[in-house]
Amino acid sequence: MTSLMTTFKTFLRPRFKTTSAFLIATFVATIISLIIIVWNTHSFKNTNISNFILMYAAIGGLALFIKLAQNIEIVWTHNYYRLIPISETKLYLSNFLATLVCLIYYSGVQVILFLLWELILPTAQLQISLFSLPWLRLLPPAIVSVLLCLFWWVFISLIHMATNATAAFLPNTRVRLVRWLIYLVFIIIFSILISQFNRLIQFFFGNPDNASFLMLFTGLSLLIVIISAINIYLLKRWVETTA
Amino acid sequence: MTNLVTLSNVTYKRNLKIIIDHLNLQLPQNNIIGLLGANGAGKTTLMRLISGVVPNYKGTIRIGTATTNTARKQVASFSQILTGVQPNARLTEIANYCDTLYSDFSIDVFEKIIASLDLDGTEKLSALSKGNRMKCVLAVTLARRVSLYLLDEPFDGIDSMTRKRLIKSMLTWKPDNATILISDHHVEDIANILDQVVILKHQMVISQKSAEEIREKDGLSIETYYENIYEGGVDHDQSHDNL
Amino acid sequence: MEFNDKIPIYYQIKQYIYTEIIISHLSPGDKLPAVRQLALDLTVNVNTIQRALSELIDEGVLESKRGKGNFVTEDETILMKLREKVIETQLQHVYDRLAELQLSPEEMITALQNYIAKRKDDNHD
Repeated sequence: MTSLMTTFKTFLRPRFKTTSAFLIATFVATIISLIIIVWNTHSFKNTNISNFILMYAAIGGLALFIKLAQNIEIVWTHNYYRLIPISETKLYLSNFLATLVCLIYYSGVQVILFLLWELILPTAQLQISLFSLPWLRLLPPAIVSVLLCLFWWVFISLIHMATNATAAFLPNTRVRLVRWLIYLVFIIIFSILISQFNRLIQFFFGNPDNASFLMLFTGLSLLIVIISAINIYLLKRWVETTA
Repeated sequence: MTNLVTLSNVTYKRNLKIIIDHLNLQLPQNNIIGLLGANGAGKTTLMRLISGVVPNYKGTIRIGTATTNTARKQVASFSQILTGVQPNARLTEIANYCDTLYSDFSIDVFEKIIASLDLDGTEKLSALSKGNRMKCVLAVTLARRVSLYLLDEPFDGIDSMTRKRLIKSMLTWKPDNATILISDHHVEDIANILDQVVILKHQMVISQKSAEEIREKDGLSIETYYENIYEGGVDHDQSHDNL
Repeated sequence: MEFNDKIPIYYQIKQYIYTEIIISHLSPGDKLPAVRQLALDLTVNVNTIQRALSELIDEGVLESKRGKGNFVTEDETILMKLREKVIETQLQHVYDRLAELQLSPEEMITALQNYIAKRKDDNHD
């Protein structure tokens, strides 16, 4: 049998490359924007640069989130991955572990870059808020962000697997219709979740104390574990590869 | 002769249709077996079932001592392994991927096969012609050194010269004692290399016979035998029920 | 080599090796190619080659030396009998067909002699 570690490394390699490409793209975008601004205004405002770093990091992060979601989903339904002699649980874990590492890598580099820039050319407002903050207080928002990403990824997998599994039980003519119905149901659940989450998250980011962090942390972790358990069950018993 | 593969009472339904119906089949060790049947007879499904990528079937499927899906993935090499490969992957990258994930994969065999078939390892899979893609599929499948090979239409849509070369590769690289189950639309292409033929019709095995016995006892070519069986004889008058 | 798809392959391989021996492509004491090589040369299954070879070994036409391979027998009587047998098989076909046409043995000989003479002339032209 192939080990979890081997599969994890194999999944990680191409995704790490993709993530690096996204990082490079955001740097290049930042630098180009910077050059354009300096060229046009003949001035060099630090605030702009920090803002650009943040903006491109966010755009790149969103695109990377989608790209990594694709990478996760292709594994569930294709022979190239499903033929690997490894249990479904280990396949599932290695798939998400590889993605998680990429997410941490991407955010880590962006944060370090941002802080470095702040160190070289501190901007007036941020200097105070950033470096007067103890490092430990930066950690909870970071953890919550990572958990949020992870939550959406396992949720997307749940939608994908549930649709795939259900489709096998429907007559061929109805598959498409029912597939859309399932999507619809999930989108409704999805929106309800988002609104509930938003309240919690806004509350948390506006008021990042220990109690709200712990609540969010436990809630998200629990949800991720529960959905993952359902996903692994679906993967093992019902999800087929495309022929 | 020792049996390598045993299917007992295997039933598989999808989209409310029965695709494999209480199928029983035994495949001996060290044989090349032709799997024949019209389109939609269930040839690909049968191979998918044996390979371990189909989770929700009834009955038992055993390869040697392997009975679970995961265990069967370890001992059988299935030619549909390349569905889901990133289109820009190079052949050498695919080989490295398989080498890492399959302990029985031999890079050496892979390289020898592609060299003998004039394939360039640095080429991208998506850039290959249909014939070259089939060569690559066969090379990847045979480079795993296992006891069972499931070759689903490995010569589909390629010219007769290439077909001959692929058949020779297959004969060269089949490990001693391994069994090859091979399906092909054109029986006559592979008739000379077969030990046995298995004919699928009405979601069941309707005939399993030694190729030489068909020639010696029935005085028929494999093709004629197949056509005779398919068009009448063993038919139980259910042929039009499902149409 | 082209096979007739209605005749067992192992049988056709035996005939092929008989012919190779009779026309001295394979001489007494010669080593046959390895089984896998033969299978590749003829594009057939290894098991089919093995069946043909083991029958040839049983008939004494080939001798199997453990670990060394298969060799054409050096036993002259077996080779002579083989030649006779192969010729006889061919003649048997001709005889059966001509007998079906109700030719007497004398008429068969005359017909054969005439045919040979005609083929000779054709070749000279």
